[in-house]
Amino acid sequence: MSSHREAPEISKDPVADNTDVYAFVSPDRPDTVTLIANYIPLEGPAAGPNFYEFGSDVRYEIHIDNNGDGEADITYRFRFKVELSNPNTFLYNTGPIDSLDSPNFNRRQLYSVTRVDRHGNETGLGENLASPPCNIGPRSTPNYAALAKQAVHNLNNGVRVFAGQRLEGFYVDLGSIFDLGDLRPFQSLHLIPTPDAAGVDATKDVNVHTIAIQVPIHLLTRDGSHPKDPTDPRAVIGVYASASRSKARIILGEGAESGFGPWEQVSRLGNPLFNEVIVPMGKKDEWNARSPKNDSAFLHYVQYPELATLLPVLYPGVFPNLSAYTAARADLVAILLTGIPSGIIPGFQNFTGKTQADLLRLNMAIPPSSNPNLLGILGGDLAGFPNGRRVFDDTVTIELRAIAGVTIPLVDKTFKPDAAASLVTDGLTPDLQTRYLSQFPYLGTPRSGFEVPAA
Amino acid sequence: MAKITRRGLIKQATIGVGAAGVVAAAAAAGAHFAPAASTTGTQNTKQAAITRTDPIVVWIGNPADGTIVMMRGEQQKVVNNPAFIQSVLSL
Repeated sequence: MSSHREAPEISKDPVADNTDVYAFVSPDRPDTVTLIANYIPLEGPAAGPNFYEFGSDVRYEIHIDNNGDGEADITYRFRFKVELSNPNTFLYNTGPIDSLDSPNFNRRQLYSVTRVDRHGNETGLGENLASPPCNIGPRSTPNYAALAKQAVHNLNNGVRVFAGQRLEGFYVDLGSIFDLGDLRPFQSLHLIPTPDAAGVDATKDVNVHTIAIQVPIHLLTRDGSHPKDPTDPRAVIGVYASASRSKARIILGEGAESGFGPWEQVSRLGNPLFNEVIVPMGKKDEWNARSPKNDSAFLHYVQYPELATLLPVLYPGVFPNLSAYTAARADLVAILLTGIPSGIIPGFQNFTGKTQADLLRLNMAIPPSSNPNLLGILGGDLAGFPNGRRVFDDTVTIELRAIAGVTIPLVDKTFKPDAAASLVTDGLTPDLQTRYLSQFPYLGTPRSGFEVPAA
Repeated sequence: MAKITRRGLIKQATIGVGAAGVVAAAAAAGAHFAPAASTTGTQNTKQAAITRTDPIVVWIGNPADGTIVMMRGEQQKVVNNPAFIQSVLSL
C-alpha cells in the first residue's frame, strides 16, 4: 500500500497511521495548492456501531519545507475533539442526519486548525469546525454528498479545509503484490507462474479519513511570492505529513486515560511507498519517528533498492539489464530525496537542494493539466507525480517502472532499460468520474455501510 | 426492545438536544482540571491552562544514569538526581 500499515508499530495504531499524502495545484483554483493527508487505512464502510473517527489524542500535521533544508517552515496542525449529544443511547445517530448540526447526529467531531511557522509561532485559523459523519446508509445519511459539502469550511485569506471520511483514492492490487511480488497481468512470467489475469483493485470499496487544506500559493512560498516561472527555485515546496502522540499515556481506570509530555511523531509520509518498499523492516518504525532532514541515513536503501534486485529474481530473464546494473541509483535519489534538477526533463525541475529528505516536491509554477495522464511525468504530464501527487496518479505503476529502471537514463545515458521496464504495472485504471470529485476535497464520496456491507 | 417508530425517533432527537447542554456544561466544569496533553473522550481541542493540581508523570528510563524526566501537560523537565533514584530503588 502507499503507506497503509507500512511499519510494524503503526500498523497497530490505525488512527495515527498516515496512509497517503497528496499535493497539487488545484485544477479549479490554480492560484492555490491543495494538500491532503489521509489516515486510518482500509476502513470497512459497515463499521457500526462505532464508526471511524480521528483520534482526540493524536496531533495531525501537514508540513511544508519552502527553503530546501528538510525542515518544516510552515505546519498546518489539526486537533480533534468528540461531542456527544446524548450519552444515554448506543446509537451513533438517532435518526436521519441531514445537516451537520442535526440533533440526530449523536457523536460528532469538531476540530481546530493552527498554522505554525518555522519559529514555532502559532496562528489559529479555525476553531470548532465540524467534520461530517461517516457514510452509514440511505436511512441515516440520505444525501451524503450534500452533507459532506457542508463540511468544507472557508477560512480567512482564501484558505479552505475539510476533515472527514472519504473514499480511498489510492488504488493497488494489494492481494497480488504482497504475494511474492506477483503482478497479475504478467504472472505467467513469475518465478511461480500462473496464467495472466486482470488486476484486482483492493481498495475500491474502502474508505479513509482525510484532512485536506487548500492554500493560496503565495502563503506557501518562502517570500510570499507567487512564482510563474518553473525554473524559479521559490516555486518548489517539499511536503510531508505526520501524526504524533503524547510521550506517556496513563490508563486512569474507569474508562479514562490521559497523555503526558511532549508530542512524539509516530507516523510520517512524503513520497508514496518510501517507507513501505524502500526502508527495510528493521528500520521502518525508526523512520516513522524521524524528521525528513535526517533522511541521509536512509540513502543506501534508495541507492540500492531491494525491489530492484528482487524483480530479476521473481521474473527470470525479464530484467537482464536491470540485473546487470550495479551503480547507485542516482535517478531514485533525485526523485525521492532531492528533487529533479533543471536540465534533466525539459521545462521541469523540482530540486530543493543538497539536503536529502523524503518530501513530496511540488513545482507550483507548473499549471494543472487539462488532460491529465495517470502516469504523471512518465506519461509526459508535468503536473503529475513526482511533481507533487494528484489523487488519481498511478503511483504504484510509476514507482514500479522507476525501480525497474525506466528512469535510469535520466542520469545515465549508457543504460538501456529492459523492454519490460516500461510495461510493468499491477494493471489498474480507476474510473475517474465515479471515484473522485472535480472540486475540493477531490477525493470521492465514501462508500456507505449499506452499499458495501462486506468490504 | 422498544419498537422503533417515526415518532420515537423524533422524540429521541429532542432528548438529544437537551443532553447536549448537560454534556457541554460538564465539559466546561471539567476543563479547569483537565490534563493539557491528550485526555481522550470529550475534550477541548485547545490546550487548557495547566494548574497546580495537574498530575505529573515521572519517567526514569535508566536508573543507573540518574536522569529523571518529569512530564506535566505537554511539557517535560529533565533533571539529574541519583540520590532520589537511589531512594526509590531502596523502597
